[in-house]
Amino acid sequence: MGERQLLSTRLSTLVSTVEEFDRLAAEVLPELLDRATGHARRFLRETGQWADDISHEKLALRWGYELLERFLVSGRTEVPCRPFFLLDSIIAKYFSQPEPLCYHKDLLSPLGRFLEGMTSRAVVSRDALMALFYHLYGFSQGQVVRILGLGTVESQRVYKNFERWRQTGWQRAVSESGVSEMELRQIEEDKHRQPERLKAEADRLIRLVQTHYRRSEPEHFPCLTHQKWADLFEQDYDFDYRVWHLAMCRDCLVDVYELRQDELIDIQSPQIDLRLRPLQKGGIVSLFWTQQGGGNGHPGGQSAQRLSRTSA
Amino acid sequence: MDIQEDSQLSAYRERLLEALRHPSRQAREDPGLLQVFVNHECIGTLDCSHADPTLVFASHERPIQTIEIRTEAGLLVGSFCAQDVGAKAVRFPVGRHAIEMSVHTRLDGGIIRMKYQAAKGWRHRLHSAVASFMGGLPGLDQREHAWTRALAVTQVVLALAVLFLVADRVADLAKSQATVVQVSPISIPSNTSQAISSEALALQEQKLVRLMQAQEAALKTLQTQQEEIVQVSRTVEAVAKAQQQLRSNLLTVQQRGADSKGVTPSKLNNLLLAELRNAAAERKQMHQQIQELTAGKEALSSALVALETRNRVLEQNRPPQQSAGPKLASGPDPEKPAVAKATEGAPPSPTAPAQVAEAPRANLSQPFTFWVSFQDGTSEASIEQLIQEIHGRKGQVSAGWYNVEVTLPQPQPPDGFMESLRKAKIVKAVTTSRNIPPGQ
Ligand SMILES: [Zn+2]
Repeated sequence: MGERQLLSTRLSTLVSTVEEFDRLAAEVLPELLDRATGHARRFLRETGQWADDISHEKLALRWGYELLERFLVSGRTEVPCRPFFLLDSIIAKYFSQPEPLCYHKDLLSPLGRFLEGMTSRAVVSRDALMALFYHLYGFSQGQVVRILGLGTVESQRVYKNFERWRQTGWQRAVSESGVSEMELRQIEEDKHRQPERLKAEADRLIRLVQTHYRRSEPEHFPCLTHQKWADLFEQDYDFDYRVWHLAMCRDCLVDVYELRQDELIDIQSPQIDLRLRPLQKGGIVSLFWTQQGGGNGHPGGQSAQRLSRTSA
Repeated sequence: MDIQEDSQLSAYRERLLEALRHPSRQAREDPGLLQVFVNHECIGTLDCSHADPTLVFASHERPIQTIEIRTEAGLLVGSFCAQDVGAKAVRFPVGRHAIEMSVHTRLDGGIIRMKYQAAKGWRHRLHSAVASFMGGLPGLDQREHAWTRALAVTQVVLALAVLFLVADRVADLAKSQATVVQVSPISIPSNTSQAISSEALALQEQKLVRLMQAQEAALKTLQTQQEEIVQVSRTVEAVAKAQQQLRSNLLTVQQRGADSKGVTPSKLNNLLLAELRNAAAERKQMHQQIQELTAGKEALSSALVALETRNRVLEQNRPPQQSAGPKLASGPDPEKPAVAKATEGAPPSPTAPAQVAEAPRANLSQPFTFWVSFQDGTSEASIEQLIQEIHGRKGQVSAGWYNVEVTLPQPQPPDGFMESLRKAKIVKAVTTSRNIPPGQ
């Protein structure tokens, strides 16, 4: 008790240098995380989005973590400051936005958390954004480049994005979203046993998640009409827009695919084809062999199982 | 929750803590493309593979609350949370490199300027070496000998690259243990900081007599205008540079087209188009910058007019016999003096310090309350600014009427003050009805 009080006093006192801020933050990181998590929990409670179970606790923890990460970086620009007050003010500001969290009770399942975790990561990471094309539709980097009609420089970046994602990005995103290895295996099992049911469920959840996170795009990035998409590809501009919007909007992706069908004859139309693990090096080759052997001609369950084993 | 769930949860908590402890924020290599988020929306990127990339962003309606800079992997390398309105300069380290950012936040928007500064590594040293080497080659015709030059450069580059690579690796190895990075608010050179000068002025305002204050403010306005002019000329320079770059890019593209037989006219055309598009985007950015500066200048000149008016009024109210220089009010003087009576038609007199009247002390002042209404469409910010200018204290607001209290020096009647206030562009009407808001 006394120790706790002492800590709280220390965090409420003025920190005057960056070094002091870093040292104190490192010392009391667990307490800071608990405080941030407490704020997230209270927000969920007050907005009627709370239940006493592990998935809600995990959600609160994850948001506490994300907010604390921002505090640790932005606090360094705020010295001299009182750490507790600064943390509280950053969190209060975040929660005062309209719909700050992507909350839906259906998203609390392992599959929901996986999809929400990937998509929320895609908002802040271009690697994750590119990887969405693979995780949701099974497109390889080469196919992504062709569907998006990217130029040489952008294509090279896509390959780098996939590479970084494979090496570290995926692991980090999964770990942060709180989906355990056991849960991943469970989803894979479901996918193997009831592919259609899982696909329908994923389709429904992806729509929920994408609708929420598309709001974080600038206002001048809305869904385009068929004609506007056609112009954009014909006149060959706005790569960023294509990448961002098409990764976050399935309807537009299908629209663009149909528009460019003649050039994409060997690529199947964007269907939900969930992949839980990142695309491995030479993954498409092994995918090809699996397909040949599997005989269903659809890069679905079997191939994903096979790929996932190589990456586990 | 059962025990199993509890342990699952605490394992998750541990993982998150571990991620916070080791964010691998010390990426030493070129960070590639940095994404910039304002209020959690991605508003643009900084391509660090280019030389000195910059980004300017202006928000015209919404205040800037948060700014985040992330690598393509999503790593948070810079985060800024605006705590109040004003200007601030921040420096974020990105591995060995850094981002310098200045933020100006207002109630109704703001401006961000961001610049990535690569650490001067072997590439830079190599570049300088090559440049000086090339500078020493006499009589090379730029166009005709492009290939000769390229060959020469290649040879020098190869030779120097080996040397520098070796040297750099050794140096990096030595440094790799000490890459803990630090953020610190950068010290701002006085000639570029509006924030600091206005803060300093605010402090002085409390101590100086009112005429001195008006003069200081006018001086500040002039300074700011000078700064703006310097900034405009910098922008113009940048535009010129961009144009030059465009020309040289076009030349390069043409050169490439001429030199390689494999390039079809349509490919060449595409390349040219891409270059043109880049240039257009750059020009758009410049244009935006110039617009911002123009708007800023407009605001400044109207502020200057207001100051001049006030100065004139003050001059006219000067008691004829007093002739001390501007003095510091002795002791703490929380009462801010306000504009007093204005005499119609009196010519404005130049304000030489030797003739300046000594301001009345706070104990000679009287509070004066009045109601003021503003022209339709006047923004809250302009209203706040005006009230600040007259050192008023805002009371209740009712049906478009603002109740304001100012401190007028005795024994000046408030008529002159009211008269000068009525002349302000945004003011619709002023009245002294005390208790009931007029028009009710
Ligand atoms: Zn769309």
